[in-house]
Amino acid sequence: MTVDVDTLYYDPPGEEYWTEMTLSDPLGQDRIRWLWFQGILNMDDLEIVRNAPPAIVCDTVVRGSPTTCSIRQEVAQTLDSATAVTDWKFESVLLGGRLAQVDGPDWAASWSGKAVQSGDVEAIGWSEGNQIPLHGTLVVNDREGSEWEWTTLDWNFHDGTGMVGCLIPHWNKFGPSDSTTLGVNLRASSCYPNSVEPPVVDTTGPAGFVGAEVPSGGPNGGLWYVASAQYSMDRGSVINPSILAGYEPDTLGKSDSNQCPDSLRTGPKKAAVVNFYQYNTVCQTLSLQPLYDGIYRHEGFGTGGQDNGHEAQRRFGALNPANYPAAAAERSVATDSASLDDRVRFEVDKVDVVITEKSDPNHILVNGNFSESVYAQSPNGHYNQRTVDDAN
Amino acid sequence: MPTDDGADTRISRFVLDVAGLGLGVLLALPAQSSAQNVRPTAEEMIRCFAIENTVGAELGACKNMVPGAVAVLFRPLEYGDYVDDVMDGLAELAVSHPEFRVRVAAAEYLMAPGKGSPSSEHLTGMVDRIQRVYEESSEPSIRSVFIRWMPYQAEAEAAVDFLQRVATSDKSPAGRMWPDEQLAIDALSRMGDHGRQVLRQLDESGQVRNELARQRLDYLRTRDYRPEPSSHGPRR
Repeated sequence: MTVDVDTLYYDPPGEEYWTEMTLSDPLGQDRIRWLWFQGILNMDDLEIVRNAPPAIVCDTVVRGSPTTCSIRQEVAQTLDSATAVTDWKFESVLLGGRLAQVDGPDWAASWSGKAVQSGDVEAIGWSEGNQIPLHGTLVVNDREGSEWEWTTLDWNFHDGTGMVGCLIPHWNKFGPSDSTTLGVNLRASSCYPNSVEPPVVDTTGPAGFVGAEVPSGGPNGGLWYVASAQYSMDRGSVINPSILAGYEPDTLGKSDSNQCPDSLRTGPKKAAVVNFYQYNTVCQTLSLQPLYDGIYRHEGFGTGGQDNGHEAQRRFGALNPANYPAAAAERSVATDSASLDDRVRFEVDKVDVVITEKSDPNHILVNGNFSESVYAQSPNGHYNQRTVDDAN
Repeated sequence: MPTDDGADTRISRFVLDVAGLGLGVLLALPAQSSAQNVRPTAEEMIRCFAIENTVGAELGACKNMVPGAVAVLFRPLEYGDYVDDVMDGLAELAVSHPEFRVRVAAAEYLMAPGKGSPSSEHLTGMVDRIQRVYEESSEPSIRSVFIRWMPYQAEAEAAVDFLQRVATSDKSPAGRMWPDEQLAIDALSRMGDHGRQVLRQLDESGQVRNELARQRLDYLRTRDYRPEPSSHGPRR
């Protein structure tokens, strides 16, 4: 192991002072390969300070832009010639833990190419037959801007369009149970949990990005990065069909039937044959529209600007730049296409979980959208008046 | 001599500045290198991981370790001596760190060391570890990470067993969309023939009692227990 240092401070065991040992450093290239001290050397006996500018200087760029790494002028002047530099090498640990190593040219004064990954750049300089290790750092900044953001234009939400078929094929009938689900907020175009489209957990489907390989020749040649990424949310809400007009009717008992007009009393002994919708709207002349509106507000954007709906809260989560899925994908770099796909799914899923949690599945903020008095069937089949609400 | 705090600070800086001059220095070393004593400690990795995943946190001494403070987890066979300690640290973060984002990230990274195909060389016991964290966590969102990504663990048999146990556990409260049991059914459908075989058995035996999980099973039966593809791409 080698460590570049300018100054080594040594704190002798048992002493109350630090000893400074300044190293001569004409090229900024002094190295301590290993230090031998008599006795035990503890970590807190050492402090290293490094001030010398690196021998190799690379243009700092944003990901995907060209960079050039070259020898700092003061160092280059000490070499046999401008091109007396061999064994250019780039090394970096990628976000997924893989070590990326790229070998560069020999006898070249500089090394250029598209940059996608920060890391260490090394080379060997030649001076009068001596090899001088040269070192520098390539810094690649994340791309920013609208390409890596998303806006409300990327989010769809419509009442009545949730992809309910794959998730809740059988709704519980409203009435007998106090905990019947009256509405849900779902993806509209795929059947997966969480929020971001495409659903990255389905590894047989797309991961929402286009990858590209850096052309060979430069410090990052052969690495894969995210050339572009695009994510969306596509959701809708659905109301429990048992409270809608088209649901199958029940045959009511005598007392309930007496509340209904003759036109609905088509059963045996003039029993009313009606569903929840008909009993409320026709037999009791009670409009259910306020209930439907309230359910849609609960699943959607809340009431009166309070943002107390699931979708409103989800969008608060999605609006946080820390949760932009394209930005999360942006910094992924890998040594091959498949690894890049892995990385992107991983990064996008992290923000997807955070966005989804913001939608408040536990109803801390999403409540108070409706409190309606309706007629609902009790376990014995009789209709009774009860209040239905989404109070917490 | 410096105070204890000062000494700790100096130790950290040394460890990070030397081994972390890029985690590349660490990862470039042979796993059992003689320079092992200057690697960042698992504790340091975990501390920096939490900082890395906290929005707006000052990186400070961690700046040389992020991103990827616990990158060793992606090369578990080479850094097996780290994996236990790092996973223990992540497990603690996943269960009890005050920041939700950190808990999610920790849960996701816990899935990394065991990822792979059954035929690939892999560490064993990873699914058992994940199951222990799953059982410790009281948060559905965190537990969902373990369930959803379980199909990609190299220990496929253990993963199927885990999902089967979750699917039949019937512990989720009513009213929450995508309860654990339903997620487990869904995950099993993405585990090839073995997963589908288990789903068929669960379906026929009636062991799945959670209502939404049961309904998901009903739906998957119509598809021969295969998941529907997410065929569409993102759209504006």
